[in-house]
Amino acid sequence: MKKTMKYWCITIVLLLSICNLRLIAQESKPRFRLNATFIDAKTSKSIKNIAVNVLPYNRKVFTDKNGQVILNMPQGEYTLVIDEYPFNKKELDILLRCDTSITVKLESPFYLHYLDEVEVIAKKPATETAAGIQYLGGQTMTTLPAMIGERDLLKALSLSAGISSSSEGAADLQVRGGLHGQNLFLLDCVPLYSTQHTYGMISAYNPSIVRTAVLYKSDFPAEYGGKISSVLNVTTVDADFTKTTGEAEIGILSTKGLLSIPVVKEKLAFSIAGRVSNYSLLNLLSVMDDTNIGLHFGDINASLVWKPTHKDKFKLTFFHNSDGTSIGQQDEQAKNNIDINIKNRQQSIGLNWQHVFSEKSENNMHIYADRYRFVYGLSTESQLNKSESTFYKLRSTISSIAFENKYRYNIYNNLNLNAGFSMKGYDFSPIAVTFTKSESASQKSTKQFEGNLYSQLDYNFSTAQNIHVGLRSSTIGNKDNFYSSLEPRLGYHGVFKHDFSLSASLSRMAQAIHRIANPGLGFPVELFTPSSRTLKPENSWIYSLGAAKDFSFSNLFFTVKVDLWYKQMLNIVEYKDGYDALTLLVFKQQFNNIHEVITQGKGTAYGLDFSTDFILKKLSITADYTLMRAENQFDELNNGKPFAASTDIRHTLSLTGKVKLSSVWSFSTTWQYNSGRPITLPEYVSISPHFDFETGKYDFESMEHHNLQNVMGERNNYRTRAFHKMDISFSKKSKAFKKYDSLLTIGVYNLYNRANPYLYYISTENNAAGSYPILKSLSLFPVLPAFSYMIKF
Amino acid sequence: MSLNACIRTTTEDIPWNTEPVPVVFSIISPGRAVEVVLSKTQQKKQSVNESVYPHAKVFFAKENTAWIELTRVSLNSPVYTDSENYFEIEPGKTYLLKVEIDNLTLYAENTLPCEKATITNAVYCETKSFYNYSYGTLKVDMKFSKNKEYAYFLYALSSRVNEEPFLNSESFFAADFYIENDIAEFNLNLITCDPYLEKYLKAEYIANNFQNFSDGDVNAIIFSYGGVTPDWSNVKRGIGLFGSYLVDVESIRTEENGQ
Repeated sequence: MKKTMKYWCITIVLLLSICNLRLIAQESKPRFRLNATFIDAKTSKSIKNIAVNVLPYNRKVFTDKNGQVILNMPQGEYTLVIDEYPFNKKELDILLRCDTSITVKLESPFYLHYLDEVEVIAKKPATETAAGIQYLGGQTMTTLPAMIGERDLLKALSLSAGISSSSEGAADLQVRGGLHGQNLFLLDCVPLYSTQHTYGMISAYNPSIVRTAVLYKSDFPAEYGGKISSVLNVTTVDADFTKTTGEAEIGILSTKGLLSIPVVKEKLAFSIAGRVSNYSLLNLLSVMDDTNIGLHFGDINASLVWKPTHKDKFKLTFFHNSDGTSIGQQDEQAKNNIDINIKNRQQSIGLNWQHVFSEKSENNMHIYADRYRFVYGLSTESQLNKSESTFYKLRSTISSIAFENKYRYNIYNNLNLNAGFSMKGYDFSPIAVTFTKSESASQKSTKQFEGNLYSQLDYNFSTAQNIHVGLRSSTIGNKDNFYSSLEPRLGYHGVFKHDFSLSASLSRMAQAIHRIANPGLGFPVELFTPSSRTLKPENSWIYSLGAAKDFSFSNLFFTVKVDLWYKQMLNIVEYKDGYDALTLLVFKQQFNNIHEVITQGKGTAYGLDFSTDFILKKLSITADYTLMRAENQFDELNNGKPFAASTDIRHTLSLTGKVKLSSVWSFSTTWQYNSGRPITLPEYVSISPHFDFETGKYDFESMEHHNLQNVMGERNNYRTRAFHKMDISFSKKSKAFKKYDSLLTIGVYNLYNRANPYLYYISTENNAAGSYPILKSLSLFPVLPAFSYMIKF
Repeated sequence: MSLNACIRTTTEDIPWNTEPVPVVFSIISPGRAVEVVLSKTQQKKQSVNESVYPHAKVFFAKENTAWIELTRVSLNSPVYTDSENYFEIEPGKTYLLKVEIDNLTLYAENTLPCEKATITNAVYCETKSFYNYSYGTLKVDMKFSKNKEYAYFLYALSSRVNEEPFLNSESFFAADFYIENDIAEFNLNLITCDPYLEKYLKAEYIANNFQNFSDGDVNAIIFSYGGVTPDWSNVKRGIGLFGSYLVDVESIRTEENGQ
């Protein structure tokens, strides 16, 4: 260790000496001023606070609030390097012989745009992005209303057209008729299995470290695959190479922290971000006299970034995400203690090497390993006799290791190639059930290999006309079975005169790892299982056609965007009648074949997304509306007849308003409306006499008190009540301790205290004739205060 | 902060049919008398003393034979029996059931399992005595039918022996099977169910274990059934169950085995 330190010290001293010598040598030359202004090529707005690397000094300076850097340097040749997301990398050679002023226009790809950090209200031309692509910058989330003060990426995205949540408060995404498990969630290119914390209240993405998030609802680039509905690619911020920075935030649900430290200035930096639920900090939450509920979640994102040269960047990332719910009850009548534990955990570690060969080509190499584990456990302990304790435990684990390589090459000025491959090995133990009283049982664990190869050409055939053609080949399986699929991708986006754009796309997607979700009324539990000889991979064809128009009148900026889409899905999975995650625990001790409990079918979804932005000075109003229909058909369900999919929420509407009240205060509000979602309820309810199989006789005495039996009809034959709510929040930017930026957010969740159903269940009431069935709904989120305070240093 | 304070329950409009519909219930097995029970779907305003379909007629038949009308036990008891012991139920045979209520005719048919599962070995060993009960281990070896459509469970002393609704393997072991102290011998029944009875028993198990929660009960969140209850009704133009089963009985002497 000491030797290493010594080596580093000597190296640093030598490097500094060399730099110093060069600076001394240059001091004899006359000095001139370079005034460079950086602007966004699309909006002509100045770009503040971006890093400009000055070579050969390899010194980083940041643009001021006017997007300027002013450098006083000796006469000579210099290169300014700007490599800041979302802009294309730019290197500018300058021969400094006199005082010079230059304006540098930075360009970004079609689907990305620069969001100003400070201003709440920013124009966002709808024509810039193709249909089905949604972009969110990390800063955008700070301006959106947060649930109980918790900023959340998935909740922010769920306000967009074409996206809904499975229930109130759920940090999940149902994209254009697809299920949550049909979305690819990436965090620095590592897929996430579970994306939710605490009953889905918030997502596993810590907003403090989100740099960009791009959601593809259609028009999928060929580099993405593995899920059939959408792709959410989230990249995290790099550690700061120049100064130690940090962020701390406390809210009602969680406490967050972020620390970024330059280990070797301009070369090596480390950052760590953590989040923990406040319930975990309090350790115990007492709810009722005989019940204890513990809600825990926490996540850690750490990264170490090393830039050995200006053409190479290594990023080592670590992610840990854990979630747990425990409920302890004392049943005094049965003299039992009952404990329920639901836990999930994902850990991943990855290394990314980005190498720039030249102005025209760069390569990205990524290796990572991850592990996901879900546990659903129930234990009972007798208060009289401890030896009579029993437990049931259902466990699902996935481990994987992967290598992927992505290469980008600018063939001509208007023609780009993206190509790459990936290899991944999985170790699945999809369902393992453990019992106290009998032998443990599990579905056979399997190892699988996945290989992907892709290539995509992007051609700009006019100033603002882009077409891209791609093909992805994916193979997954093991020595017993292999599945391969070819996935063509085709997209067009063109901007015409009068700020009008058109876009169209066609994509085929395949999904070999299935997420099995409960189809019915209760608590959402997710299990993952790979494709096998009897379980085919899911696949989809997704088509979209969109148009957008920007209007600008003096201070008024107005955009309209309309997307038409159609999605066809094959081999989608669903539990057979009589099964869910809970009954898997008690019904099946041995799994010879997953087909015993799940079945495969097909689905179609189609709809229209409409979104509009209205910006007048400091006021911004956004409306997103979707009209859609989703239908499934399974040979083994609903007598083979088609039925409404659980994602068939016919109308979704969200209205978001933001206004900048002063230089420090801003106000935002959202109103969301979802029409009812389909659920399955009985068509009749009857009672049946108790039958004694030993005597073959009926027990009529107990008939009036016997449990009610549900007689089912069509699947998803009922729709829940419509969901709607309004949230408001006020934000105040100020200086803490006179020098640190701080943000105070206060607000109200569910302003008018709407009791939106979280789940439905059948209960009974009694009258003189006995018990009769009633339907009840349970809502979790009444009107709630929202609060968070963030400080940046 | 209390989660309980956040939980609110709302009684929703009843989505299911509120007009009463006749329910037919009959489970047949070789060696048991044929019995059919009539009832109605559950309604809030149902009267306790109401006579259920007093003019209903119930017919029973073996396939390809004539219908025989069953006899109602009494006006207040909607149970119909084969009072003449006309029918002898046989494995693998198909039986028909018809119920006439005013202008409505309900119809169902059922084919009994061809082959029953058998108990090859069963041993009960008492391990301890607690209050009025003796506790012991119960080990049962069985041989299932080759027909994959059937489901099996063990039944003794008027209740199911296995905790889960159906057996998943041909060997069963219970660590704490208990019986009353004064029972010296009991019958262990291995039941072979037809697919309709299997669906019904699965639905019954779900209803008994994962439904009916009190207001504000946190269990409603965790233990609420998240699947779709099997459609167990096999009665045409009405609802109900016409099921069948075979039984294999093994007599177990507790004293001898416990020694």
